Amino acid sequence: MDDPLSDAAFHVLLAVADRDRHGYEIMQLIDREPGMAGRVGTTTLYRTIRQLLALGLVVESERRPEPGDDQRRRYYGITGAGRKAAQAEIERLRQRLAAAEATSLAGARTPRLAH
Amino acid sequence: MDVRAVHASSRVYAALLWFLPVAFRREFAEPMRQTFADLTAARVADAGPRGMVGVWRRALPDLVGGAALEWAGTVARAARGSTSWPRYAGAALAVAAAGLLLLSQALYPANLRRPEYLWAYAGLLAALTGVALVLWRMRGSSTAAVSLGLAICPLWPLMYTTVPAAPVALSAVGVLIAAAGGRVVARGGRLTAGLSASLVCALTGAVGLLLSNETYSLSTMGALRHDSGYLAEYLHSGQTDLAAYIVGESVGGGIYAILASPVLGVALGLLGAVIGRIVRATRRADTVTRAPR
Repeated sequence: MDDPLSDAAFHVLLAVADRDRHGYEIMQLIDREPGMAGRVGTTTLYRTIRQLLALGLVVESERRPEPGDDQRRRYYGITGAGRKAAQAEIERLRQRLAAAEATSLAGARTPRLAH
Repeated sequence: MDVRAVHASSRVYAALLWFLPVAFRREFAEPMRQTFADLTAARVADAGPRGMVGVWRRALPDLVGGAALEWAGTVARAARGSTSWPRYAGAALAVAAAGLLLLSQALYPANLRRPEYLWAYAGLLAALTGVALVLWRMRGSSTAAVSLGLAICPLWPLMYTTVPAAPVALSAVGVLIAAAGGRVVARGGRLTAGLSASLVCALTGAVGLLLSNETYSLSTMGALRHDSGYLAEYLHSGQTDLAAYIVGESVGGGIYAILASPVLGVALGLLGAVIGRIVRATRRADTVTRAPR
């Protein structure tokens, strides 16, 4: 997958990278990301999940990480393709950051020590 | 905060999910409702009623925006994958015109006491029903025929202007109707298919005229009441209700257009078919001449 991921798609992939999670858990994790608090609502979340399912980047999981969990909850997990897409996005962000750091703008924003 | 309030909030949210397209709703309504319920319970536990307000302030714009985007995507996919939209578009135009006719009579009913108007309106409603059925069922309701018919609509206002715009607009209407049939025949279609396409084009254009007339008269009723030209014609007509007179006049043009459109469609369709045959014959001759020996 060469196209950049949307912010919401990237953060959903990050949220399910380590283990399968349900919608509310994913929302909680996204809310904790810097600059993402309140940016992904329930509709946006499931529209993004639908898109990721269609692209084969996440799958719906039958496993229940916590026994006795509400059976109506749906869990989603990352696929191999999803992992590759997230890694490609991380690399893209690294390159952008490196390019930004190389400009004078990044230096100007660095706070200087007062003597 | 009361647990029942949290449940009630989830039920309201679940009801609002009906605004989403069916396919999306079938797949995700239940997990969305569950996620919303989890979110509400957590926020209410943290911040009480303010938490509930916060959840809704976030959920509503997200739901409205998401539903709009989902519908836009659904409609775009349907339009790309289906060839039936022209049939629905033409029929919907006729139904909308009939709806506006009924609305105009409900708002300004004075004409309904006059038998000649009553018969004309009943006839027009019947004609519009027939037109809707023809546009819906007819094979000629192709994308090109309906699009050419819709292209006629912006030309109607020019008909009410003076030389040279009016005759140019009239000629353009004729060209569009003939072109609808001509292109079918030029591409190897039969004469009946060409006539059918021209008929659909003419009917769509006529319904467009009626619809624009009705919309114009209903939306500018206040201004027309002070139009000296209209007032003079109204006084000359001997009618007693100005609003009903304006509505009646606006519908009148549409009635003539609807009555004339089948005749125009067939006549101009024949002309288009003749031109289409010539174009096809010329293309064939050209192909034979260029064929390698």
